[in-house]
Amino acid sequence: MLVSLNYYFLVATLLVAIGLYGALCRRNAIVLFMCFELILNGVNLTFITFARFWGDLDGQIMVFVLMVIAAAESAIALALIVALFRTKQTVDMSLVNKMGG
Amino acid sequence: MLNVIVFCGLSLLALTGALGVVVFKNPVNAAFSLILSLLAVAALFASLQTDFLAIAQVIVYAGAIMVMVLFVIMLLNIRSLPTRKVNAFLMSVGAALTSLTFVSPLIYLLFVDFEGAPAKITRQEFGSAEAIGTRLFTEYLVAFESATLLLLAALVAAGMITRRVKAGIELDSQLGN
Repeated sequence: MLVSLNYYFLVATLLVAIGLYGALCRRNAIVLFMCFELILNGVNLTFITFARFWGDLDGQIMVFVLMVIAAAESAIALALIVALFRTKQTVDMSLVNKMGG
Repeated sequence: MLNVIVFCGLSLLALTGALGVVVFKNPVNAAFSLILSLLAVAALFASLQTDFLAIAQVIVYAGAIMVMVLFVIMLLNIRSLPTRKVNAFLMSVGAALTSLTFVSPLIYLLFVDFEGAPAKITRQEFGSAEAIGTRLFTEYLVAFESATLLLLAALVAAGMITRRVKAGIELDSQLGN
């Protein structure tokens, strides 16, 4: 017996929504990064749910690739945060306007 | 019945952890809250009979990536950093509206009939490491190999980004005071 897949989609949607909300209103770069991870997780859950629906492995392969990309992205993002801290002594994104934005 | 209870508990944990990431002021608390959420999502994977990815999620996300985040938080000593005063209420209302607007197309998924899902899937051909490995090394070999290249490139790039320190700015003296 399986819980209706619609509820899995509900959880995934809420994860994406919360992550997006945090990414828009928090200003600490590290918290922003964690919010992006939340969004990626919601997407992963959607992929897995669809894979379960079709009974097929392709969705799982996609999630595997997404995990690799998330790992690479986190390495770059954290390196950028450290480099930002070295030059600006802050990780508050509203104080970072070096590019004129 | 047990299924429903487990699912409700897990999704409640996942969403509470996600809310914690957004709500907590201290990034360390937010990081631990995110770990909770990631573990709950991994358990949700397992409840969809996706064993291998559930374990990969625990090791890669909750293990490696979050440890790295905690290391960076520890390295930067964030509590004493300058911030800017903004209208927090206005900002959160705007963020909530934007987020709901972007996510609203996904609400469609809640009303689609997904009853066609096979109720029982043999573990051997769906979630096991053997099944995924076979598919990964035959049909998706190019994707797998380029993933290794991507990881190598990210490793080199991270090293290059953190290597350059502007003259005159000593990291140690900033952290020391």
